[in-house]
Amino acid sequence: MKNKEQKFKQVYKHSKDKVYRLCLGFMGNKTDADDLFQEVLIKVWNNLDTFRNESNIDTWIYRITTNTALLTLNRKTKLKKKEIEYQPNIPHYEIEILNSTDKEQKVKKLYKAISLLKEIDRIIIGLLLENCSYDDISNITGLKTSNVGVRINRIKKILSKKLK
Amino acid sequence: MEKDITNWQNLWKEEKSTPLDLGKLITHLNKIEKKGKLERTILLVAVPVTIIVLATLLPILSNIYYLISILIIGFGMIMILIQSYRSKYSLISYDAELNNHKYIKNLIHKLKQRMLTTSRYMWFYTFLLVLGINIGYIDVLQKFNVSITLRIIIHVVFTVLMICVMYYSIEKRKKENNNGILPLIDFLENLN
Repeated sequence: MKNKEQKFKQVYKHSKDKVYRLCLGFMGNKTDADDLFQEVLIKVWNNLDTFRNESNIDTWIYRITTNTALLTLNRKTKLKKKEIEYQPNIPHYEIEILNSTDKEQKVKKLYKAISLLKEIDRIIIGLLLENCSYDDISNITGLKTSNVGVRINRIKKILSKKLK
Repeated sequence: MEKDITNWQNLWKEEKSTPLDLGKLITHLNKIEKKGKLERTILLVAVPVTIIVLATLLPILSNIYYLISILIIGFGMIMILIQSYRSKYSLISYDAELNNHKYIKNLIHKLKQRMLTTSRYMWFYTFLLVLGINIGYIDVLQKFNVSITLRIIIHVVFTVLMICVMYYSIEKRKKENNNGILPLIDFLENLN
């Protein structure tokens, strides 16, 4: 058990920010991103025995993060629909954007724009911004490398439009 | 466009995770793991223990009707448990091994299995349950010395009652599935 805890601490230290950014890009607000982040950590713990040191830790943890995100999003969407029935739900980020510096506003705008893309596109751009190669992205998403390239071009155009 | 990407990358990396109390988190994770292990062990141990207890308490080995009855019902219970186990717990271990595409496909398959448990396997279980209990009742009714017509009526009434109860519970489960699992399958299929 001690060995597992040690391994978990190493993985956490190495990947926490990367995983969190993917969660935030996917969910679009900090509350949901925190929930997803915690869920990913639970899955990392559960899957730790399947991780072999010789394999790429980034690919391993990105697969866990993106698979968990895809599963969680449906639940969150359903919950949001219920909340909307009772009160208007202003996204967290929109309130924060109003009270932040220029750079912070740009960061928040970027994350918000990403969170409005299609689910798989959010994953692709998130991975690209984390410096993953097309092959890595293909490996994580299961799309062909050529298809990843096509999608990235389309995503870039959409984001450029939204962020101008 | 490349300049845009570099710019976005710099902005993207501005966000950092909030520091967590790792010790507390690990304690919590250990607790969840132990609880999960316990639940799975209980599920695996429950069926053989039930069969052993029944075999010890009831004189089933001395009576062929009871023996057949218990065997049929036990078979039905094991079938349902295996089906539930396959659709629930085997899902957990694939998060890191499968890419998104395969994960979604696998998830859809598991969810459909869960729907199948209710729509098909539960009816098969009902059939086995009714058959098993009726076989057991043959001997019970023989001991009461009732006429053959009355015995047939009791079997028929019991069968109809059991089917009604099971129908109600299966339909209730189906409704829950339609509200919970079907939208999830729909959502996942649209992702692919």
